[in-house]
Amino acid sequence: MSDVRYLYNDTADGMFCCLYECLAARRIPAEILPQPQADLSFYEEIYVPTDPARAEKMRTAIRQRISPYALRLAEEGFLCACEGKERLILDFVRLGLHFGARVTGLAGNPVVDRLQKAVQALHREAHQYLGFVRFSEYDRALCAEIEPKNQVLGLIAPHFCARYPQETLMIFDRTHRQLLVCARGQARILPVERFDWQPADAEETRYRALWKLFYDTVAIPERENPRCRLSHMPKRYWNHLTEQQEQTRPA
Amino acid sequence: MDVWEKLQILSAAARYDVSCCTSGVARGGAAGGIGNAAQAGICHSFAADGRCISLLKVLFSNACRYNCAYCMNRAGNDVPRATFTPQELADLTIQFYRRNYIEGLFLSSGIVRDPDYTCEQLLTVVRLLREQYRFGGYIHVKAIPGADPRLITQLGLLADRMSVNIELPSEQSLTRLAPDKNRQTILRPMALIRDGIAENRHDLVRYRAAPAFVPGGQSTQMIVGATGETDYTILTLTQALYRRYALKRVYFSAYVPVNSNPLLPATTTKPPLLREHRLYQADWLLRYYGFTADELLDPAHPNLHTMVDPKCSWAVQHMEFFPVEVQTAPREMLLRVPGIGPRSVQRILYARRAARLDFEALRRIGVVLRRAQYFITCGGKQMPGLRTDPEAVLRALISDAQQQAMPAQDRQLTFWDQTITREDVVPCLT
Repeated sequence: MSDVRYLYNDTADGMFCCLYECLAARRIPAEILPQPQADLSFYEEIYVPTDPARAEKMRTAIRQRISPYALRLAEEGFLCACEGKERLILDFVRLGLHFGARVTGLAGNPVVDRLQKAVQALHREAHQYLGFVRFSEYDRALCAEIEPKNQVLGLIAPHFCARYPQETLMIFDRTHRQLLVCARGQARILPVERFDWQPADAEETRYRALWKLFYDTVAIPERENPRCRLSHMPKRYWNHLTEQQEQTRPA
Repeated sequence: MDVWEKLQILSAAARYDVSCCTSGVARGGAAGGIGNAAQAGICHSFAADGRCISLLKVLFSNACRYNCAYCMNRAGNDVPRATFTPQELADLTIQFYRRNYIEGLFLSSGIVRDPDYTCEQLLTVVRLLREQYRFGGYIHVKAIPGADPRLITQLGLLADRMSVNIELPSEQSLTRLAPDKNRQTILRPMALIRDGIAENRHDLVRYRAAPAFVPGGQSTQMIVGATGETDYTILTLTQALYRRYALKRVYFSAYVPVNSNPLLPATTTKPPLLREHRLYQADWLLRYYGFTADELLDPAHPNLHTMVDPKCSWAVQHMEFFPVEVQTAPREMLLRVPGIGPRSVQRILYARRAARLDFEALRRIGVVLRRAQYFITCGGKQMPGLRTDPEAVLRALISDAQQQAMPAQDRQLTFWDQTITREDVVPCLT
């Protein structure tokens, strides 16, 4: 470990360039962080420019010298919310270059274990959002907003595209300021600063209220169990769940 | 009556149906239509009772002709009655589905007029969805006992899952409480669906485009606690249903007293939720852990332990199989260790090929060492600092929730009388 900090532009390509830089220079930084960092650093800072060709080279090296599965872990590790993920991925890749494909089987190793758990959490959250996304219809487009910890948009896109082949979809990720747009089976993720919501029309209001009615009626009162509900559906999802907001019965 | 009131009545009437599972079918979106299905199933919400909501679960109608004692929709009850039109129900399903509220439809019904007529109504709804809306989402539909087999087959070609409720765990109870139903009318459609699925498997091998018949499998449910059957009877029946009818799931529903009737428990009775929970644990042991009903219970001990789960209970009574050496034990034996589940087993098998395991690694893999520690060795060694005094063992094997549920002042003394006996614990200490 040395007292240097690598900075990159917060893209997957940028991170792979950092990995390349570290391994080529045989210099293990204390931290790898997306630029810009506001805090006062005691480390020497090196900005690694993003070069797609170099990133691709790093990816190929991981795929061939470790395994395709290891590359997937590294790619998905980048989407995780876990702190210090870049450093973790670097440690994982270094282990991989030492052990080869065997590295992903070292479930008892703390580095492999942390990365695998982070990626698992990413997939768990993505899976939960397959159910917890709530669309509203505006102008014949279906729009939704989510606040995930990890960057799940890319993982949930294929599911929603296949599910609604006839519709135009938009899912706004408020945490990471990204918008997923699906239209005619094509998905794109765009950086978006803000997303403004129009008021719901009469039909939209009606179905929201009907859904809330169903949600409230289908629970068996004698079996009420708030703890069980919270463990399956933590409060952090509730802000964007139709059934957890007040709805009024249409006239 | 508008859709609002109908939905209110008919979802309240359907809430005692347990199944809300959407797994077992993987299907891409239909071009020109709407909807797909995911192999693992997707939960869309969780109700105030903690149960998952993934399907729009409603009755088509609650104007039921039958008079089953345990059911709130029985003909003799004075409750508001409602019936959807197929168009209303299809519209609700599609609009809910578009907004991603649900994964599909769970459709059941009271018996209106006669079983054939009811079945035809369900068929109309499902047809409308599949053919007119080209709906590719999940559909679970009830096979109506006593309906024409041809109608049930037609439903099966459109639905993902079908179920026939066995209702009560024994024929005597069924005759007593559900005078209009009998064992034969329930088992006949169940066998029909089983054979349909088997035949379809065969066809699918030969012709890829053969239409799928109930690809998500069939399930059933029975009420627990309304009648006097023991857990042993229930588990034996469950096992027979899995073996003879190749069911995907058998659901248990703790009886919620909705009617007062001298044949039933008093209306003040609380639903036996803990018993239901233990039965589900045992059901999992039957399906995924290679246990049989006779290993878990026998006529001399006909009920599951309330304090410890069935797997722990089996393990402390069979200490001759333990401790198990994690490095070398076969899969089947690892599966029997309390605190190790199928997923941990998978990871242990994978990890021990690459490296030697230690207790720290086992913990990271996801093994619940608090329970497993008494039953395993790792590289020939027991867990360091293992406390094997009776109190520590019991504390480890009884879940926190159960300890809380016990009266505080005699939490320790009553351990001995209520829960496992001393003889059961002693072998695990030596």
